[in-house]
Amino acid sequence: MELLLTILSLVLAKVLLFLPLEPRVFQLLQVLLVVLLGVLVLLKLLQWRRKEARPEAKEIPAQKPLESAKSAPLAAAPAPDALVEAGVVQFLARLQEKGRLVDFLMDDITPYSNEQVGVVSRVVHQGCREVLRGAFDIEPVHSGQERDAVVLAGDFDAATFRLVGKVPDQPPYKGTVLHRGWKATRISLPRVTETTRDSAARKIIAPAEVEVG
Amino acid sequence: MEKRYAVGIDLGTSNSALALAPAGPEGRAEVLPVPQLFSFQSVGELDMLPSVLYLPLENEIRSAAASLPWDGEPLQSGLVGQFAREQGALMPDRLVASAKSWLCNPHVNPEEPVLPWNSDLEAGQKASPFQASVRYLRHLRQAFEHALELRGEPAGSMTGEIVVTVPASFDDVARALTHRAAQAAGWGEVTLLEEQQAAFYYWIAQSGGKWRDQVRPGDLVLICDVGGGTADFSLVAVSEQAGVLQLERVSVGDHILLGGDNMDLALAYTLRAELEGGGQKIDNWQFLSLIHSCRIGKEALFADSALSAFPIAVPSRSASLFAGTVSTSLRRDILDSVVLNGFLPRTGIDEHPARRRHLGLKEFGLDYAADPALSKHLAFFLARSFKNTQATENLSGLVARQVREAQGVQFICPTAILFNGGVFKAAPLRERILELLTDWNGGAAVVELPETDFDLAVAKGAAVYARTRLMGEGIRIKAGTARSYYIGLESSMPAVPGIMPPLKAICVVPQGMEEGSEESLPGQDFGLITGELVEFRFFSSTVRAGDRVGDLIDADEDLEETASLQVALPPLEGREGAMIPVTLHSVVTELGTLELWMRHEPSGRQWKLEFNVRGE
Repeated sequence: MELLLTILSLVLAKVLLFLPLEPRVFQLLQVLLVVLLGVLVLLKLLQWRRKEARPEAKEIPAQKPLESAKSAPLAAAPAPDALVEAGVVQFLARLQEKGRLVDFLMDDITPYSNEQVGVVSRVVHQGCREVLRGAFDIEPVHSGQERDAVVLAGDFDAATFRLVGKVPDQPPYKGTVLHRGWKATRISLPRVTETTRDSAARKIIAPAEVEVG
Repeated sequence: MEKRYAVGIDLGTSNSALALAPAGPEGRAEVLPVPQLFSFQSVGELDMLPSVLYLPLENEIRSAAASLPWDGEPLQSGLVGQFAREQGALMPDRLVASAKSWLCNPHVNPEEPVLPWNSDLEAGQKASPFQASVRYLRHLRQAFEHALELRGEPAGSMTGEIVVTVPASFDDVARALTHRAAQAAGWGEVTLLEEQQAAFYYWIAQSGGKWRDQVRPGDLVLICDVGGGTADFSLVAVSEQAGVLQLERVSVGDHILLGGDNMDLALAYTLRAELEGGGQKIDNWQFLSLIHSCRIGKEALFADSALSAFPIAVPSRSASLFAGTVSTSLRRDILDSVVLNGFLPRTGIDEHPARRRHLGLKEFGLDYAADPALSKHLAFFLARSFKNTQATENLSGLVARQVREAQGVQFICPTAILFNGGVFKAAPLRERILELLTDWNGGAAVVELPETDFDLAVAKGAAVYARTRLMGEGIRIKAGTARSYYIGLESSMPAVPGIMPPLKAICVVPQGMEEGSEESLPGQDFGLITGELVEFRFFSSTVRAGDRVGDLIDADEDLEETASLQVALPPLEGREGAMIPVTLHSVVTELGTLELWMRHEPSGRQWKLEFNVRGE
């Protein structure tokens, strides 16, 4: 999962950097890249949180199974990672359902013109944006403008600021903001709960659709 | 037990919401997010709970693993909220929607499992409008208890003042059903409040005491509430008594099934026709996506007047986005002609909505507005408010300064307007209504009162009102019943073939009868035979403010038949089958529900008249 996303991000980054693209397509692809990176960060975050919570995990009472499953003997509890993965699949499922993200990325876009890619990226943009705004409040890390001159103290937070270029050993670090950065000030992700059900359903990003009648 | 919470519930036609106000005099009402399914596998939280119920397939239930943070109903009985709406849009046969509008539909028994309407599901799988309302209210109650739990409140401490909002236009049968649904959902005794008043209470609360500077005695405020699927109008008069401002709700309009969703749908139809004109076909699924894009486009164009068009891409359902994506755009001229001039045309005060033609044999469904022009509905409301308020000295005094006449129509022109409902986030729609009112007012401007939360004002305002009730302080809008109620009396005359005897109606509840008061019908005894079921026809009116209890009037077209009432007197000892004289008493309870009682004066015994559920 993680690997797949990393590869996709890299491919996308490569397209952004090396292929000549129309400005609006370029912008949309940028958004996609941010979304993808967001998913990756999330995955990591969840894994980390999961590890934190592990010692308490045993105390969580078993989720009350639904009526029909009540009499069935309890299956082995799913591995903790499975739940985290299921959460990410559900977020991806949401990006697919609303913004067709997986459809878009799984397609080979080479044969299509920039015009065609532009039209389609509207679909992806509108939908993924809706999902993103529902799940996060996103603000720039640096509240000023790009190209602002900034000075960072010696104890700056390396998670909040990344220094690039010719960086001296000692502060002060003087520089210019290249990218304002993004941070999530509210996170409200779809949650999955432990279940005794078959875990195959949790690997479905989008079900196959069959029209009846 | 001491009540510790003030809770407001907006049970909407398309979306519901839940708000909590802290018990002290300070502090803002806050909306509690509602956990709901986001898919069969996951759960998320949203401020609004879409008021829809999806009835899933057996297989869907088997593979589902999502569980709400509380012990909810099994999925077999359906699921509520965001995912229910998304999933149901693809399978309309399994989606219960607009249950609230069905509660006040005169042709359907609200306790019969008739929804989804026109669905091929078996009756056992369907839900009644009443059951659906109970489901939404129960989901909200569980969300509320869950929120308290997260705040570390002990379980079972849920004692609060609960206010549920209903449209001002709901008749008493629909009000009683809503009240009973809240009880069945575990909320206990709730107080009912008109949605439009709730929006007004929120405006007062968020003005932070400054509202007194924004209105003056003699002012009339129009509350213009257009939601997703409905439109409602109310008028509130501002007066002064001993130096203190008083508020009184003087008129309410009909429940109009017309709202923002109709606008999105109209835009989507227009764009589809354009696409088809160009030889491009789109299927049902694409049409749903087109409606959604039209909504976003409408909001974007209304929010930014510099934008001339909003590009729209409609993907096909296939996994290959490139194969079938259709591209079009919502141009400003389409938006203006369809939404502004279609729904809010510049019409005169004398232009009223086209009346629905009554056909002999008509398949009834929801009584959607036949005329989409909201301006005409508004003009009709203002003219009718004049007629209604002239019947009593109090009301005509309150509106006296605002009576106008133009094009041969007498009407009431408000001095200020409070908008409510998500549609009015679009400034051009508010401006158009202000322009209409100013025009009807002979050029004198009508003030717009600043609203800060078009979507959630009703829930928050209900919480504010709940707190007012809890604390016993804060301003209240004097309102009372929005309608007057009548019992039908067949007049005795010789039978003539082919001619129905004229029906007389006797007023049992006057308009504006206040909560916590009782009236008795003077000098009118009914002779009831004990041990038999007796039925009365029951009528109501929103335009007969002048009728007092006991007034006998012709049942003309001002009256709407809302239900029938029935009462069965148990046989009195030793007097089986005897006719006994009883008098009629009407009570409006503190909670805002109406009760009618038959009392046998000599013995002091009394029996309650029950609403006979509607429908053939």
